[in-house]
Amino acid sequence: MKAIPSVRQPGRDGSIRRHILLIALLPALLTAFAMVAYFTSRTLSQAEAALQARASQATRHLAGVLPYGLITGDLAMVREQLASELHDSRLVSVRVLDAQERVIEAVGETLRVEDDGQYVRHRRGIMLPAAEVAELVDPGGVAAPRLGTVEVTLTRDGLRDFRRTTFLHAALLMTAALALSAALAWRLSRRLAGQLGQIGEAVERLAQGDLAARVRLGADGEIGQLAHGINRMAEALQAHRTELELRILDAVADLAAKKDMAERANLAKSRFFAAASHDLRQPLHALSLFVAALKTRARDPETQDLIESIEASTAAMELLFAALLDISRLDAGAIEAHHEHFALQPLFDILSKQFGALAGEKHLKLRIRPCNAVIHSDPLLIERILANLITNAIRYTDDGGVVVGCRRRGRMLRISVIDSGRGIPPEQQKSVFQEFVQLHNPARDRSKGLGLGLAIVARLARLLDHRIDLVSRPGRGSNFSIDVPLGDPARVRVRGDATGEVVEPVFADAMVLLVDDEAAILHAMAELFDSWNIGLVTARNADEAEQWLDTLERTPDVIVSDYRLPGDTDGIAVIARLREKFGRAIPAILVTGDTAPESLQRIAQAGLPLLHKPLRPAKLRALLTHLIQQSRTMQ
Amino acid sequence: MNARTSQPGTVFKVVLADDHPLIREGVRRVVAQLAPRTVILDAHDYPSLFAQSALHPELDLALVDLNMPGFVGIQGIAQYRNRFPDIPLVVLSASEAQQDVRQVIRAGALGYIPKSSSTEVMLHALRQVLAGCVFMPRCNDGSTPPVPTPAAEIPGLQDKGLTARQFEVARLLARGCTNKTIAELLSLSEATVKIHVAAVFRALGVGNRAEAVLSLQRLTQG
Repeated sequence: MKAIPSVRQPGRDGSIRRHILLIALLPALLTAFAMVAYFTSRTLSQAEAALQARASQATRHLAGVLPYGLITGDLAMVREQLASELHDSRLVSVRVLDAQERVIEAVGETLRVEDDGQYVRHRRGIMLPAAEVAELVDPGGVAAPRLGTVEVTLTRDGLRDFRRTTFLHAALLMTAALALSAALAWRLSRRLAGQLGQIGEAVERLAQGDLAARVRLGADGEIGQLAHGINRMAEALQAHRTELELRILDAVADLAAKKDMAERANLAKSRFFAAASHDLRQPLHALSLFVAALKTRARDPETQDLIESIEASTAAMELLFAALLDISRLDAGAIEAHHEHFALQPLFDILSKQFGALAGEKHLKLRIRPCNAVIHSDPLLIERILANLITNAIRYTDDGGVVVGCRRRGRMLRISVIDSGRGIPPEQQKSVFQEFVQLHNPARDRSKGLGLGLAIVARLARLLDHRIDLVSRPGRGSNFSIDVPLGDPARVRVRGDATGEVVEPVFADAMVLLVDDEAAILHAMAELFDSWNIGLVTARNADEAEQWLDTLERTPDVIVSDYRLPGDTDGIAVIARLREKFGRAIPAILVTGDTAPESLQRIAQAGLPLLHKPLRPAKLRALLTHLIQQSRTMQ
Repeated sequence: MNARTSQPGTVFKVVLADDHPLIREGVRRVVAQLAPRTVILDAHDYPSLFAQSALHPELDLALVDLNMPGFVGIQGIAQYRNRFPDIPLVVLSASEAQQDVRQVIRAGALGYIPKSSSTEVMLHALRQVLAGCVFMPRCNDGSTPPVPTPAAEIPGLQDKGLTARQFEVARLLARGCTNKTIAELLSLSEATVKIHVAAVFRALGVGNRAEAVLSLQRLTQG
């Protein structure tokens, strides 16, 4: 499963916790604040009221007890009462004033009027008791006589302290409340964020393709449900994926098996066909030979015609079988390319000779332009390709001719086969390289082949890894070209002489010594050996032989000697002498026209191979080949 | 030098080894044209081939299919050559693979004829082999080896017992070519050229190159 890149949102980590903290703290803060404010103000106003009440109480009390002292004029008693009240009610000062506002008596601190903010002052009129009653019965009636006024002053200092204390307590309380809320919120949020974080991680891992990821929370409630849901989803995904994978594996295995079967069937078919073609061709070869033999016996024209038709049929069959065999061998991989560096011109010469006649039959000109290039490829397969291309060119050209040429292009050589034939339409230029495709042969005239020539060319080119190109227009002829790599002239293997013989390394500088007293035989043998490309030194006797061998400073690979030699020596002696000279048991052959049993016995005893005169070249060659090879392997 | 086969009274003996009886039938007719009197022996595998050859040691030719039961083809050829070194062996084969050809020649066969060859080609091939050549499919376009320059071009050397090839060497020698150049021009090995050069010296009656060149120039001018 492809990993999906994860996008980290900024603040993702903290936002829930922040939110929770905010949710917990803000209301708590507000509430606490509100409550504290409310209760504090109430407490403070209550305290203020209490203060006022105290002041009023004090004045009332004094107003009640002072008249007696005032009436009797007992100032000492008044003073005592004032002091008592001052102490009891914790007043700052208390004054009695007469009706004219003159201070009769004062106790406590003397205060300046301006200090009013700090103090609570209360006044009450001192009345005669009866006046008080009358006041009660008829308030606002006739002004009762006043004795005076009592004035108390209380300090608000205590209130202030009280206020301070209260505020402090309130603040402490609030802080405690907030701290508790924060702590709780913190814990709660951490837990929640943690759980959500785990869920988030698990989902991320799922997204990355790890379908085995699960949320491990022991939670219940909504989070628990979410976790549970995600786990179920993951399981479902995993199961689904496993199933898909299994199905894919199955399908792949199935396909692989089918492909394998198809390939093997194809290979088996190719091999079977290659083997079958091989066996089928043998009777066909035999047939050609029989027909050839029959041809020589046919005397009357009718029979000759018949035989020629049979010959044409068998020839066509052979070609077709050869082509089929080649294709099936190419398909079965049975043909290997053996690359070497070789010159192109000799190949061109062969092709020219081979197809010149064929072209001439159709009155076409075949021109193969000289080329001195050396290429690196398999010579036989290149020959095959070019032969097929030329055959095709000739077959599909009615007048004009075929030109074969080459041109260097960088490190490659382009060999082109150009004809002035019917051309190939563009839409068929690919299919002509397929098997059995033939243009211009709707009647399937089998004398025009099976249509395998180009298929073989295509396969060979593929095997050699050379590029084939086709340029053609209907009515304007075709140009088939193949690009081959240029080769290194220094690495061209030396080939034999013009007869096409390949001088095998074993015979590279083989030298044979021939001893015979007849000049005619020596001359004839010399000519023979020339055509064999084996060095020959001739001598009429042992002395001459030694002389020439010394001049040349060579040891012969084989000594061939006539048995009968002039003087009282013979072939056996000569061979013995030379063997001694060179200190080696040089292989030797005796030649004789003798049939006398004693000679034959003597020769047999000497243990030397014998050839009878007149010498049969093939026998000599066969024996020499064997002995030279032996001599070389012995060295 | 087919003197042997053209002599009346002498019988040309061939052993034909192939596991396809039809092939043997067909090839038999070709072989029969090689000589007026031919005796053709049959074999269908390597053991029977060896048996027949042992019974008839004076065989002139063994024509053998490469792929017969009894041995892996090349081994069979090599074994046969070891056992009967003086019997010329020519391989007849359904395969035309170049490596097969090389291997077969190296194993000691004197020729390789594809079974797809025509009668003419087969006859030509066999005749070449009997003349002592080694035949391989390259020659099957019916071309004959080029005839070396007739000796008449160098007066004074005709009767000295030199071969046509040696005349060629002499001519090149007269032009002052080195052995190496001569070897390249005539597609020979240098060792072979040395032997030919020695023969030319002998025919001219000289002992070294310089004298030979002078002698030759005198002959061609005089």
